[in-house]
Amino acid sequence: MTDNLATVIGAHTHVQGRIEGDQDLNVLGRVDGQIALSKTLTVDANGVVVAEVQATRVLISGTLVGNVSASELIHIAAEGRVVGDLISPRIVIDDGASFRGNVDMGDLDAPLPLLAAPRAAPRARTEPRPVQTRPAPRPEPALAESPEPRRERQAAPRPSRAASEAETLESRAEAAAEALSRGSKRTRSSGKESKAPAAGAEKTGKKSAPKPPTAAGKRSRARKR
Amino acid sequence: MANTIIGSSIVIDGEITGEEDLVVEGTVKGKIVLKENLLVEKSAVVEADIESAAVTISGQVTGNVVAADRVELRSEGRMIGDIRAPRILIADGATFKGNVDMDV
Repeated sequence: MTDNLATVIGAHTHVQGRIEGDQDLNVLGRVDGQIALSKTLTVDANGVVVAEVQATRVLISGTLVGNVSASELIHIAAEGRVVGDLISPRIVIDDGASFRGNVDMGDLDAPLPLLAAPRAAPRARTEPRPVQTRPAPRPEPALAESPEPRRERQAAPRPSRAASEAETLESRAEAAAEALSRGSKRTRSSGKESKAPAAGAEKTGKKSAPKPPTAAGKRSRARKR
Repeated sequence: MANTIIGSSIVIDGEITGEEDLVVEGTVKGKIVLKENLLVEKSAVVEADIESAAVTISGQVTGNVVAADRVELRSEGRMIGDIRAPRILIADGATFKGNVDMDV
């Protein structure tokens, strides 16, 4: 019968550790640890699984504590109790089941919004770091620029942290200088600052050569406004 | 009829404890402690210390075996490790290397 092809953890058996395989697994007993299958995991009504589970299909009629990742289906039956995150394209929860955790059914229509970026490392790389955009008070040129200074920082040696701080000071100084040219009152005190950090920025600017062009780009864009 | 079956393509890395019969056709690494019988099938590879009531080996076992009742090493069985059991049966064709202690 199918039992010959399935692995059964009997009701009085306790497995602690990692189970992996290419067969169906039927748990009537207890499993602690990790389960990685390329077929179906069935947790019987008396079964207890405290494990990270990866399988094609996961059918739960018992207790499961742990994150479940199924490439096809997760089904929590009426007697099932699950605490953990579910990741699967198809999820069925029967009336009477108990569940607590996150549900992720994958890409529905659009990718996750950028606000959720901090979780996923790859997305965080594509999104420009907010620290870099904030010092520049003008949103438009800042967004356009941020990929460039990022690349430059990556290319530049590590001591460029001082250079990046100098650059933020420089950008603030330029904003101040621009405001000064417009004749606003704020700039008097900051206008004095503009000379000192600008000089400092020039010195540190030698470490990362490409920076002056972007500074020029900033000024020209600022002037266009 | 065994109630727990570890299928032939399953690998378990850890400890198995139980109060019922266990049939292993796959791979188990770690430790097996049973109150009932252990059957290691031909396709099985067990790298574990075993404590059980009775152990019947037709596959490959590397590890020490302590049985309260008996240990049977069948003709396809291959074992490396020590055996402690009051009764031992080694069939013709079996391979065994290790200590035997029948003074349980």
